Amino acid sequence: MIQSLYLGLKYLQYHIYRTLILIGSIGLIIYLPLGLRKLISESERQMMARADSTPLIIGSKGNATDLVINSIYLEQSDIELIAYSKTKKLDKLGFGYSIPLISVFNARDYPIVGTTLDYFNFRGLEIASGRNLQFVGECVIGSHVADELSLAPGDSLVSSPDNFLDLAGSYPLQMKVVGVLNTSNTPDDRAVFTDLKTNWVIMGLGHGHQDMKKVTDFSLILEQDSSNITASAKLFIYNKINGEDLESFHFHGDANTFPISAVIFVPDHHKAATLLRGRYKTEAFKEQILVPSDVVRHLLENIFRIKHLFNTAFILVGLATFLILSLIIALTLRLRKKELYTMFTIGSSKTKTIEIICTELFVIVLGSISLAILLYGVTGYFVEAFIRQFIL
Amino acid sequence: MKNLPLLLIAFCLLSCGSKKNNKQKIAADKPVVSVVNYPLCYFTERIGGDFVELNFPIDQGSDPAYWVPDSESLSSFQKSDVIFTNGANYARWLNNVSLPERLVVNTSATIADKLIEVQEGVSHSHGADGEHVHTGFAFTTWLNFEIAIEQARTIQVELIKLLPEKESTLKKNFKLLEKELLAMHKQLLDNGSEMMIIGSHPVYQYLSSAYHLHIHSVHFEPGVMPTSKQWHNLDHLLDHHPSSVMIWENEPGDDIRKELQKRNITVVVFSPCANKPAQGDFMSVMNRNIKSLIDVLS
Repeated sequence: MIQSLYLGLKYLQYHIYRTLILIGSIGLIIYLPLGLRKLISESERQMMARADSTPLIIGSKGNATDLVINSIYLEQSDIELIAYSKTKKLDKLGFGYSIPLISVFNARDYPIVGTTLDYFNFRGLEIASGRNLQFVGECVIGSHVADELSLAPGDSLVSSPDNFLDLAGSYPLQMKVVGVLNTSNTPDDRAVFTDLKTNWVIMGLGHGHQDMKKVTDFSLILEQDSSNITASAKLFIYNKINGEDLESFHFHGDANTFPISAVIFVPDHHKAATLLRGRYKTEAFKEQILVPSDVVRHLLENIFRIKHLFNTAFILVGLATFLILSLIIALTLRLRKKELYTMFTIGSSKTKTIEIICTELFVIVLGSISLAILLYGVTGYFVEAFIRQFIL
Repeated sequence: MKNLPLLLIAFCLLSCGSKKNNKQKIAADKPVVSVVNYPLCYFTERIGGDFVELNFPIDQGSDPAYWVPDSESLSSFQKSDVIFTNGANYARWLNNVSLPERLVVNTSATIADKLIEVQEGVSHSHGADGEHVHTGFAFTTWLNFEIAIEQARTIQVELIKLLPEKESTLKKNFKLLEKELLAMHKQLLDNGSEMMIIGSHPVYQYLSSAYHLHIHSVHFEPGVMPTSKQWHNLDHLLDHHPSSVMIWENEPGDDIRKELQKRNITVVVFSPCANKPAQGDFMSVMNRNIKSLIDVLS
């Protein structure tokens, strides 16, 4: 047996490229259905876990999937915004509490999520370093953002303008990073969290500027009389908020009319959730109420319908590979006719010859299985990328 | 036997430590109530008594309306079980901080229609916003004792939500407070006067409106000698609205008094009591205010 293994290995070593190609192709054929199944099931698990942990979402009527993806996976999509007053109205119902969210802007390709302190408690997010949000103009970043952008408490992060060509649009805001969140292996790791008010400042609904009654540079003033001052475009609008400027920041308009993307509603109990959903079904509301797990399950069912197609394809590809492998073996035996004849001539029995060939095949199959296991093992690392690339 | 005194001392110390821990535990069990000014602090104290832990981290020398919290004070607000605000744009800092919004209770929300609108600064325009003026509300709401009662009532309702088992005591405490506030309200109503009054600061809008007092305000600070322009403005105001009474938030300086005496103006201190007084409490300060005012009006 040892001799057969030695001879088989020597043969495979001599034909190393052919051996490696065989191991690679068989290994991939074994891995693909298993790996894809793992990717799909793990993606399903992660997505459903996030959806299951979010009881209800309220947002504008329209694409339910976009609303849920924006609200729980923090992926920005073009959804209609609703008024902040909705949050207060929901709270007054006494069914639970609401967490408003707004995710419209981004900072260096990471979404800026405006919310309230309740969000961190609701998601169980802990501050790893620094502190939580306290003043307007501050942000708390997810662990992935901190690692990728090499940011730590005390650093600053500038919001990206919504439109580079719109010179009159909202100015980018230089936010102060005050805290980094613990890794949660959720989309929260890839987000920049601010208070709602900071988001509204980025949107241009609030700003701080020099006190126009105290300006000493008169070129800042276009017109002035006893009751009115008109400033020129030269008036400096603060692009960052620090302690001294904080008091000068103000909002124009009623905060209740300011926009939010959606509301996560946390009911006190199951009955409260049912009652609230019932109200949305029976009364005329401008918004829709969604159970995220239902929406995500539906989305995944649609996406993964293709899984069955893949499974069928893999069976056919596997069969084709088996046939090709058989052909390769048959052709190899034909090519090795002289070699086998020599073996018979020097006294090798027919059984021994078959044993050597089987050993060679065994080594190839073993190598292929090892490769498949290796690939299967590293698949786990690509689940998040898979979700982002193919699902969201 | 020799070690007996030492053992006794150690036992006493341990007992004290344990009592302290128990006290801390009880304190930790109490709901933490944060407030933004002294009148709300006083109302909460009167209604909630020992059942609540009050958080009013504003120094005695500061005006709570213009106070700006530091990180530590703000953190104490964030950890509260309920935060009572005055409403009427009082405490501007609330607009620029992150607080758990659902725990923030505006005590004047139920009387929003009674708030007095004021213009803050001149109208101005900049950028794409167009011409605008920052309007706000007069915020010393509690100087109308009817509004003060409503603010106290809101506090009572919220405290009952936090401490439902103490409902009867909280209601009883509120009733007592309401009675005292109503008495002051009646006293001021009964002593209305047509006399013209100069207010040293524009903080008496609710007092004026609730008790039909004719108060015209200037912008004097008790510790700062007004400029000649400010005196000129006062003289101008006196030409149009002759008055012999000027109400102040605090005792004005002697030099200011002399100038006022030249104009035959009597000084009356009517403290809004927005922050904790050096002596007494909200009720004693308000009773003193009312007595001083009624004395000159009559």
